[in-house]
Order: sequence, then structure tokens, then C-alpha cells
Amino acid sequence: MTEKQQYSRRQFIRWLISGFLFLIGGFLFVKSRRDDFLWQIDPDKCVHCGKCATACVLTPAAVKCVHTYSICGYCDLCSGYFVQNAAKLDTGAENQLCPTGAIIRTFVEDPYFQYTIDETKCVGCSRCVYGCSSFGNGSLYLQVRHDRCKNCNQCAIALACPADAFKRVPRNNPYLLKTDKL
Amino acid sequence: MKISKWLKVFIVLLLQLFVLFTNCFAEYRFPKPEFTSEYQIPITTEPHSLLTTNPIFALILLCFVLMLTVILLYKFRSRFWLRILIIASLFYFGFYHGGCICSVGSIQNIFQTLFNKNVYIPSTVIAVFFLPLLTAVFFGRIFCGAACPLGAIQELFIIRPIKVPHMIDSILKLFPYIYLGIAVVFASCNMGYIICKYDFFVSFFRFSGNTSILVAGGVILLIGTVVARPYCRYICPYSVLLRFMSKFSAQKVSITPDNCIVCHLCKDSCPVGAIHPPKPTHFPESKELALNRLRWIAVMTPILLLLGIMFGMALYKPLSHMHPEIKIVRKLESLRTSVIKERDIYNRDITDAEAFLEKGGNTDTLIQSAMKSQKKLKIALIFFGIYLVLVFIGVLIKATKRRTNTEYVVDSCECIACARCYQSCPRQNKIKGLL
Repeated sequence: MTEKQQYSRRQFIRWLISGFLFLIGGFLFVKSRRDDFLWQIDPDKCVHCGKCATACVLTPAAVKCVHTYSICGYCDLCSGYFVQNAAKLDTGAENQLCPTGAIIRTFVEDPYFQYTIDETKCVGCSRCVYGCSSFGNGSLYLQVRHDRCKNCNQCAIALACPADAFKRVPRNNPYLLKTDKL
Repeated sequence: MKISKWLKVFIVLLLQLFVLFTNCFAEYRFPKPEFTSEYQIPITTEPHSLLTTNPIFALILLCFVLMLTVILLYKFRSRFWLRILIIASLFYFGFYHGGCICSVGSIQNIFQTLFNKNVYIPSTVIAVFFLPLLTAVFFGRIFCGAACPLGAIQELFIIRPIKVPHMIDSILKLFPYIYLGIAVVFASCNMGYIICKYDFFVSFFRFSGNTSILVAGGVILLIGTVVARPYCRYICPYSVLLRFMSKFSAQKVSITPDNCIVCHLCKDSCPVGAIHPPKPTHFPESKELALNRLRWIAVMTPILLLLGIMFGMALYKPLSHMHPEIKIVRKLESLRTSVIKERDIYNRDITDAEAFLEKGGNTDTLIQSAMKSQKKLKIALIFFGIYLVLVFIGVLIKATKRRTNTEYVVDSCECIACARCYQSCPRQNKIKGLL
């Protein structure tokens, strides 16, 4: 076999392989979506087990509690803010459910109180989410915050999530916020 | 027939009402307050990610780095500038971008999309997967040189590379093939991305992560000081594809710019053992013997294939426990007899089967899709067995192959484009005026 023959055979295989790559690539490209994905929690599926806080590759986790104010009942006795059988309905740490004191309770008018999440303190433990959705309106829920999320190809929380609540969403519209259904 | 169907529906409804938790039906308990003051209801904020971590931006940079590596490696033949490029790309793709999405992990996205319907795959992921492979077809394993953050971090840890004995080296090199096969089976059966789960360096890039993975990454980097690039050579599943593509690469690294003087300095400098010394034209073994071995391989192939299929089927039982749907179905059966424990605020732990029940999932559709997944997993594992046998046969055939070369040549399948051999070649140094 001469040098030239071998060269042309190699060249042929090369073009064959790159053609094959283009074929599969093109097939997948047609199937693919133009916008990129990000991870997000479906609040309807979430069972607020608290695994988000520990399973995330980041410490503290990229998952934070968010509040849809339009659903909130603005209750004085907030089941997401106070522990059960709280001694007093005030901002005392012993009465609060949140381990980091990330929920700010402000007086609006009698008898309503506004609850705001301080995301710099929130660790995504979902205690308040459990309280709010078990005994309240469910206006507190978890969401992946994309200013923190590293967008891992395999989200570590998604693997740990017992409820299969993590899903990929388009980058342009990456939040699955609860809306006012009432 | 009809009555039994209705009975079934009724029983399911009863189950949902009484046995299951009723959390999901119980939200929106309190009415919306009617404020008398001028209080405005605030809007929930939606913080967005940074533009510089946008995959499209990263993709353009990836193209740029690949192009720059080709130019630096083949045109300028400069190890110094290549090293600077490695550090720059490690800084961006690793520490700044956070390591995701990378070509190594994108294998799983690709195969999941190929074998599943309704999988979310963006076009950037496809480009990230195919770009390095296309460059490999024409220029060799350029991607491993600088653009891959996993390779770049190991490259900086090479201090005193030793030669791995040929026997151990060739056995360890089989692991990436097995790993690739398992990862493809897992991804195509929706069982999670194991390459990403066991990515040892990503926690370094993020300065946080799973402790055991972090420790394993540290150990691999420590081993990397003496055995160059252990992850790339003995673990990386993407290297299997790159090796295959670069076998036919048009442009190959030529160690010396003019004539080889057969001084073996380049072979000593190569950290990954990709440089082959000159081979004699006469073989100690007769041609007949080698042909005989090939015939034996041909005869053994069907038996080996059968063994491979059996091995794949045997793998089904342990692996099916890792499939999320099959796992839930199995747990549901045991849950029927046991009492579901009540959750409270201090003990919110819940298993996936309990969560499925709590959210009122449809058991029938779950069982149906689990049956489908079972079948799929079985088929995938049979193909996995066949694949393993084909790899084994490929290795055997490669061992019988004869090679003759009169000077030191680079094996483009193994070369990771680090340009160390250029630096050690006396001919190049003479031309550059260093010698």
C-alpha cells in the first residue's frame, strides 16, 4: 500500500465520521430548544421535606423561601412564622419557627401583618413552608434563586428530592411562582 | 367488567380521601384581606443569573479557546503560551463558570435525548458536545489540552510524572469504556447523571460541595502529581469518544520540526506515555501465529457475545433498585401493609413513595410507566453487555496489530496536547536558538 492510498483512505474515514457527527448533531438540533434551561422547583409537587437545604452543592443552598403576597392571609397568628403553641405572638426568637430569623414581621394595619423573607438569612430549610402549607394559605414556598444557582448539569437536590419536584425550565422564564387562584 | 372498573375508580378516590394525606387540597384557607390603608401588595422578586455565565457566552469562548489551542500547538509550537491559555481557561470555565455544563457531562444529555421523548435539551448543550469531537476529527485531542477545566486543573498539578507500567496502564485504560457504558445506560433510562454526580473537581471550582467527593478529588489531584492526569487517562468517559475521533485526525503532533535524531528525550518528557519509540521492522512472532490468534478471536466472538448478554441481564436486578419509578412501585407495595408515620415540623423526613402518596399521584399510571422503564432498562443492559464484549474484542485485535516506525511518533489517541515534547526536543531548541 502506498503512502498516497493510505492518506486518501484516512481522509475518506475522516469525512465519513464528521458527516455522521453532523447528521446526529443536526437531528438533535432540530429536536432541541433554542433557549437554555435552568432548574426550578415545582411548588405544587414540593413536600417541604427540608432536603434542599442540605443536598445543594452550595452552602447555604441556592434554594430560598419566596412569598407570594397576593395569596397571603396577612394573619396575626402566622403558622409559617410562629411555632405551634407560641407563648406570645411577638418577634421573640423562642416564638419563631425560622431557625435563622429570616422572616421579618411588620405591622400593616389591625389585624394584618406583612411577612417578608430576608434572603440573605434564609437557608431554604422549608420549616416555614411546612407551617404555611399545612395550616395556612401556602403563600410561602421554595424556589431556586438564579442569582445563586450554579445550574449543575445534574442538580444534586433533584437527585435527593423525594417528590420529583425539580424540573428544567427555560432561562427566559425561570420561575414557577404561585399565583392568586382565589 | 364495567362495574369492576368503576369499583376501581371508587376505591382510588376513597384512598385519596381517607388513607392519604390531605395537604395538597388544604391550601388557601384564609380569605384575602381587604386593606383600609393605602397598603400596596408587594410583588415577588425574580433575580436572574449573570450574563457572563450564560451558556452562549461560554460556547463562544469555548470555540475561541479551541482555535487558540490549535494555533499555539501547531503554528507557534509554544508550551509557554499554551500554559497561560490553560490557566486562563481554568479560571473562566472552572472557577468563574462553575464547571457546568461541560462536554464530559453533556454525553448524558445527548443520550437521554436520543432514547427518550420530551427531554429538555438546549442547542448549546449539543454544540458543547459536538464541537470538541469535530475538532478531534481534524486536529486531535485539542479539547483536552486547554479547554477542559477538569484536564486543566490536573495539568497544573503534574510535578514529577512517572511511567506507568504498560500492563497496568492498558488494564486501567479499559475503565473509561465501562464508565461510558454505565453512564449511557443510566442517562437513557432516566436514572440520573452519574458522571456529574461523581465529578471530582467541580467542588474545587465552587469551593463547596459533597465532602466525600471533595476528598476523592483531593486524592486524585495528589496522585496526579506523580501519575499525570489520572482522571483524563483512567476515568474520563468523554476520552473514549475523543480517542476514537482523533485516531483519524488530519493534523498530528509532530515532535520535531525537522528530522528526528532518535534521542528519546521526548519520550521521557511525555507525561501520559503517548510517544512510541521506533519499532523494529522484524517481529519475533511469525505472521502465521498472529493470524491464528485473529481466527481464534473470530471463533470466540459469538460465545463472548452470549456471555455479554447474560452479564447484562444479570446486572438488571441490582441496577433496577436505582431506578426512581421502579423503586417507588416496590415501596408502594410494602407501604400498603405498614402504617404511614405522621410528619411534624421537627421530623419532616419523607420517602419518595410516601411523597408520591401525599401528593395524590396516580398509582396506575405510575405502574404502567414503571413497566415501560423496566423493559427499557433490560434492553439497555443487554446492549451494555454487547458493548462490553465489543470493547474487549477491540482490545484483543489492537494487541495483535503490528506497528513499524523508524522515529519517535505521537499516538494521537493518547496525546493530550500539552506540548511538553516540543520543549524537550533538541532539534526544536536548536532552531529556536535555545541550544
